[in-house]
Amino acid sequence: MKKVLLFTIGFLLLVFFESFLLHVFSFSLFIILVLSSWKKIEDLPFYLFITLFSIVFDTVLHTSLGLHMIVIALVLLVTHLLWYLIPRDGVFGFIPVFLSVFLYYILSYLLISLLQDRVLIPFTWDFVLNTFIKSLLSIPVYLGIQRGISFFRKDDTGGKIKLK
Amino acid sequence: MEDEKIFKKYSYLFCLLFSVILFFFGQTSFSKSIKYPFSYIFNPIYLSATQAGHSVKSWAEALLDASSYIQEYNTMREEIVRLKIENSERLLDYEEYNSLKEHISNADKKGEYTEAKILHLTNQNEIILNRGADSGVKKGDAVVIGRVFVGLVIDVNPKTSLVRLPLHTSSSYEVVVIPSTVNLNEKLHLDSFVVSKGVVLGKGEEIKIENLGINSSVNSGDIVLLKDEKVEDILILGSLVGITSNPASTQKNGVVEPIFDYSNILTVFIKTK
Repeated sequence: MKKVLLFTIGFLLLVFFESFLLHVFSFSLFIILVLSSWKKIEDLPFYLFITLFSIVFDTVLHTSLGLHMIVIALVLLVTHLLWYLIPRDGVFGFIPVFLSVFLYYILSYLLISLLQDRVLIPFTWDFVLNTFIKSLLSIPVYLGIQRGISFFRKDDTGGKIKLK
Repeated sequence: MEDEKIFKKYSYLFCLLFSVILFFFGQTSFSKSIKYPFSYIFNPIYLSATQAGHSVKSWAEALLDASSYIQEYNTMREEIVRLKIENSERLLDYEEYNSLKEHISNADKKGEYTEAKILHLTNQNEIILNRGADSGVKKGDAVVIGRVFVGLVIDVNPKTSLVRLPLHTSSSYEVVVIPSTVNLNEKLHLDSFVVSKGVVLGKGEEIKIENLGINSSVNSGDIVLLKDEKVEDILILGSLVGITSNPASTQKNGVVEPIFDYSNILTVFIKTK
């Protein structure tokens, strides 16, 4: 019961902050949270969270149902491969995160127009530069969340977050 | 147990498969039944977050642009002094009266309009408005300011709606070009002034106009009017610039410069009837 309540409140707050940051800086907190919590929390709440969140943003941003979910699924796939090359907890562990966040912004831009409107929108240098800066800024946020997660981590759960 | 291990190992692939199924489900009319309850719960949160974001953004822009505001403030103070000297009060009243009169005469009196605020301008040249099905907005409604065309409503939620701007790469409309000397406020039979017909296509950064008659006497600055079955009225789209003609071709092309910068608009009107 406690978990459900915590999840619901956290979810509503995240929708608020995501909408706020998206409007002010076109910045996504959601992708950072997804990358931070992947394989650190149980699979069921994790996939439930990304499914619900994707449907919410497909609804409020008027995109086709499942578009955000496809973007996230592709980013997870690439992140998984990148973590094979560069270990997640290594010194250069932030590089896959940077590349994944960068990919998320690019795919959001491309796939939404391609799958929804059947048109391919060309990139502008401004967009690439903005995306690069946003991806760079995502790294400290990611590291901060990682710190927070390790604070809640139980020694005997082997890397799972404690939600009592 | 074995199945669970396989699921854990390849969960991201199952996630991709599920997302593709969800996407195809989203293409059917059943997707509305999922989106509607979500819209009722989460649209108010999105609206309040966007409004909060808008005020923060305005303040941030004002702070960043503080020096120009100070300069503008000083100029305005000087202007006020000057106007006071010239006994401008009556003049200002008169100007306000004139601008209101002009606005009323510009709007189409037959239509019914719903005022809407712009919540968000997307990278794909679409805008999200704070009015939706609850305010009587329907898919296909035209969004205007006076007689100037802003876009078409392409998706509606109970509280919000999505408008596609003419710059959008999927936008295409039939248009007519009339000389810039024609006064649109006068009740004229516009067909007699048409110098060419054409088609406008959104290209993201600009609006291209194609298929203008090679022998037509179109000039830079001519007015481009929307005359398309998707939009019931004849509305102004912008002015013609950069006309190019290839001697080997049977048509002229150009670019339409919108009347205003879409990123600067705050309020629009949706023609609901």
